[in-house]
This record gives sequence, C-alpha cells and structure tokens, in this order.
Amino acid sequence: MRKILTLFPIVFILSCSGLIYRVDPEKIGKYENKIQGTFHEKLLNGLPSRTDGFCYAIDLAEIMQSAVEIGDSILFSKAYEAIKKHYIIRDTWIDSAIVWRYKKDSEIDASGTAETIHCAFAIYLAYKKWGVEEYKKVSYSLAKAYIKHGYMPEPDKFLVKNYFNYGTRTLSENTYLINQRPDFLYLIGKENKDDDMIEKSRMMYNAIIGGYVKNGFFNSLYDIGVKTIIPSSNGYYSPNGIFPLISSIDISLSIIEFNPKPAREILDFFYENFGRWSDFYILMDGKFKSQTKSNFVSVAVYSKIIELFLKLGKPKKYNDMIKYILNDLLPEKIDNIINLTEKNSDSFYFDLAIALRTLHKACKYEL
Amino acid sequence: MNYKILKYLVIFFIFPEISFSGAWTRKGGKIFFVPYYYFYHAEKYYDVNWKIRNLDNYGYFDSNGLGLYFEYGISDKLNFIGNTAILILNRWIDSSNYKTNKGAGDLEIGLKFKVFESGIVLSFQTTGIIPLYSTEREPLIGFGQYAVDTRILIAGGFKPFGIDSYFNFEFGLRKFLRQVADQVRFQILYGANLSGRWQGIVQLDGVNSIGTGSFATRFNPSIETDFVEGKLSISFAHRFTYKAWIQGGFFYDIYGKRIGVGRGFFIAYWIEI
Repeated sequence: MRKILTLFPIVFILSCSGLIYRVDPEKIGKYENKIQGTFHEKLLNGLPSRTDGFCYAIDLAEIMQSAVEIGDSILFSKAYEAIKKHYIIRDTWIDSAIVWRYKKDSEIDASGTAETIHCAFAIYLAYKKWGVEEYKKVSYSLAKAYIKHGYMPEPDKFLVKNYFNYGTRTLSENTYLINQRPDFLYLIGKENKDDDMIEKSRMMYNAIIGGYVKNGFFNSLYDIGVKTIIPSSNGYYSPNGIFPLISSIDISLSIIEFNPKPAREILDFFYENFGRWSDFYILMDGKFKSQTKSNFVSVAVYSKIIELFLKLGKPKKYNDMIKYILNDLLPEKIDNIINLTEKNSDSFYFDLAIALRTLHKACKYEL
Repeated sequence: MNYKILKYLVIFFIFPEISFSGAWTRKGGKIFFVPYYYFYHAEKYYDVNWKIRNLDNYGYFDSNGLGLYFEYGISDKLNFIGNTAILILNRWIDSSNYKTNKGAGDLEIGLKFKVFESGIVLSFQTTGIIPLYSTEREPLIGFGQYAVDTRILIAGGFKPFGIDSYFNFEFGLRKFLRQVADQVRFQILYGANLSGRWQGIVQLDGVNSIGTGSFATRFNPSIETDFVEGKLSISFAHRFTYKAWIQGGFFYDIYGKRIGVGRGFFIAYWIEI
C-alpha cells in the first residue's frame, strides 16, 4: 500500500517537471517541410493571394524573410521577383516604397510602411546570406523610402506614418507603433554606413518607448491630435482600450536591442497568465485582462513568443512553456491553418511564414 | 469553443467499475495517464421499491481504491484505452461481522474509435473486462466475471449564457459472461470552462440491469446481480501545469433499486504526454 501511495506524489512531481516537456525534432522538421512545400506549391501557381484576390506585400515580405532564414533561395527568388515586378513603386516624392497590396488590373492606391521595411529587411538578410549586391541596393532604397514616410512629432523623436496615398499625394493621419522598426532600420543603416538612418532608428526608439504602458504592453497608436481632446494625454492611445497582444510583442521585439525590458515583461506576462491567454487584452483597474476566455492565441503570437525567448537568451524559467508551445500548441495550430487553406484564412501566408522560421530556429537552437 | 479543454476531459464512472471516457480521442502518438483515488461509503441501500433502508444488521461498507486509466493514440481517430484499479481495500462492519479484503480490481482494455467530428464528436468504444482478483473472500472486490462493454459516445461544445461549455452523452451495454445480469449504462455530462485553468463538471451515470442474474454477495452493497442506480457527481478540475490537471469531486447515488446508497469523493491527475 505504501508503495502505491507513492505513485501519486511521483506522478504529481513528474507532471510539473521538465521531464515531460520535450521537443521532438523529427516532428518539428516535418512541419517545417510541410509549410515550405505548401509555399513552393502556391508560388508555383502565381501570387499567393488572399480571399479578396489581392496579394499582400506583408505576406511576401514574411515569406522572403523565412526563405532566407531556412536557406531556401528558390522560394526567396520567387517572392523577390514578384516584389520587384509588381510592388516597388517609382515616385517623384517617395521613391521605391512598396505598395501594400496588388491585384492585376487593380489601381495602385497606397504604399505601406510596414510592408516597405519588412521587405527591406528580408532582402537585407538575403544580401547577408548570399552576398548578391543587388539585394543590398534594393534593401537600402526601400529603407530610404520608409524614412520618407516619417516626421518628428517632438524633438529627438521620429515616427513613420502608415502609408502614402498615391492619389491624394498625402501621408496617412495615423501612426501605428507596430509599423516602426528601428531594429531593421539600424541594421540596414549600419550596413550602408548611413549615419542619418542610424540616428533615425535611435529617435524612432525614443518615440516608441513613449507609448509603453506596462507588463510589456504598448499603446497601438500615436496621434498628436489626441492632445486637443485630452490635454493631459501624451498622444499615445489604443482604440477602444484594446491592446492586441501580437502588436505589443512585435513592438517589444523591434526595440529589444535598445531596451530589452518590455520584451522580458511581455514574456513574463504571457508566462504568468497561462490559462488566460488571449489575442486581445484590455486594461481594467490597472491590470491587463484577457478580452476573451479563449486561452489560445494565433500562430503568429506563439511563434513570436518563442522568438522572444530565443532573443532573451533562453531564460530557464520559461523552458517548459516554450517546449509545450513548440511541440504541442504550434503544430496543432499549423494543422488547423493548412486544413482551412488560404481561401478561408486571411492570415494563411503571414502566419505560416512566421511559423516556418520559428520552427527552423527552434531546431537550430536545439530547443 | 475551447476544444483544447475538451481534449483533457476525463469522465468518471465511479464504482463499482471505474472507467474514464468521453467521445474525444487523443491524437496519434499521445499518451494520457490518469492515476486516481476514490473513497466510497454506504450504510443504507435502495430496496426493490426504491426506498432507502438501513443495511442488514446496521452494517456499513466502505472502499478505498487506487487506479490508473490511460489512453494511447494509435492514430488521431483510434485510441487504445485501459483502466484498472491497482489496489482496492474493502471493509464491511455490522453488529456481528468485521470483514476486510484487498486486491487489484478489474482490468478493462479496449479501443475507442472516433467516427465523426465536426462540432459534434461521435465515437464508438468497446472494452473487455477481466477480473484480476478472486471471489473467495468477502467483501468482494467486484463481480469476478468476464464482460464486454460496448457503447456509443457523443460529445460537443456549446455556449449557454456565454459560458464555454461541453457535454458528453454515452449509452451502452455491458454483457457479462455469466451470473450477473447484463447492464444498460448511460452518462449525461455537462462541463463548464470556468476559466482557462478551472473546469466544473456535473454528471449523472446510470446503470439499469436487464433481467436477473444468479450472483450474490452480502457484504458489498455496491455490487448486485441486478439493480438500478443513478449516481450524481460534481467535480472541479484545475490545470496546475501545462500538461496536467487535478480533479476532485463528490458523488452520491441519487436513486436506485436493490443497490447501496453510495457516497464518497475522488481525486485524479490528468497528464498528457
């Protein structure tokens, strides 16, 4: 009887211990191949379009970045050639920005800053990997076009607007913090010995950190006009008081080299809030609370949480959680997306591209 | 609907044979372990007129059991399932008897096959029951009979009053090789996802014997040759780590005929590897 009674504490301890949290490299590799194969198949048949028939530049940017990170030059070239052919817009004011989406016979309406800098970064990575001079030039010209969307709301702060409208010849009203990528800008500036670009990246960090709330969460937008309605406001706000988790994770990743504190805090928040995970949070009574009781988040969030973990030097505290996400939750989500097909999911290419490089990194860093 | 929660669902059918089930199946390669403990007590019984009476000689019966349930995903749709009480300690006390018995319980192994899943899950399950104990000593551990259990299981998610919930219905037949009357068994279960880490579960498990048998025991009121029983249980489950839950709850026989009025509690760990 005594022996049997020990069964319970043993099982209890076992269930809490790292022994049962394992990552199966074979399984991860299988999913990596599955996504890679899906992309090759889709790009072979033309542009990877969403349900509205448009092919979004951000999807191509993510595919390019993942292709570089997994070392798939054929996949990269397919997406890169599409970008060159359909997306880089020659303009007298903002030259070489990326149009946010494309469909044959559809009019070009606006650039996209997130799209421009993500493409620039993916092509910069391709240059670093394969040494093709053209990639260096293209990425630099895109980064310069990105800066052209910018302004200084206050001294020593620099932000880029969301887009440039080619019809009205005006920049957008809004400035989303998620569109600011000082990390990418810094690397491209450094590569091209462009001190102004490096300085802009520093000022962009200054602007971003002003939107920090706490627990790793950032306000989504900056709009100086808010001050006219709420004089005490600093101009940063989140529409309807909703904080998208992916947005704060992305922002914390974008400034991690400048200041790792928000990244540490959002990872810790995710860890502490297991069981209450949600894609959206609201700030109530000074605490961030999940907007829905789902306990599940998107593929992009799972992937970026793993990326945060890796960039923060794999803190031991989060080991079990990361292994659980990587080996159990992420593959299940990938299956769901692939089975839905892109016809039903607008984030099909975006999510899968991010997941692809996360899986690859996980194998590389032997999680 | 939070389907991940559903996959962790474990359903008790407490005493005389503990089984865990539910229409959901494990994914291929996944192993699910549930070590559990229960305590059962009865000092009254339901007579043939469904009335509650004292047990003979003002006796009372209690039972402590430790067991293990498991599922193994042969594929996403087909699971190998098994359950056994590793140790059962039974005790009967009345005005002139004090009897104890201990031993392993029934070994129940079989297959569960998911036929359909789209909002609602439909599965079939069949298990064989092999007694691992002798019936020479009272209070008996169980019927001591080989049996086959076949059932249909239907489960799904829904959201009454905005509460993430799930249900499980089971209906089946347990056919004994000899002596014990065959049994129709059913389960009606409602579970609510109270938060990402808490679930509340209410369930009714019923047994209706068909016909009569020749099996007899005086000292274990939880097993009868032919009887009717309805056991209500309420439990809560808490997810204390990523892959494991702990469940605890109470049960009570809310109706019956020719069976003990059992009540007690149980604790279980659910671990998926």
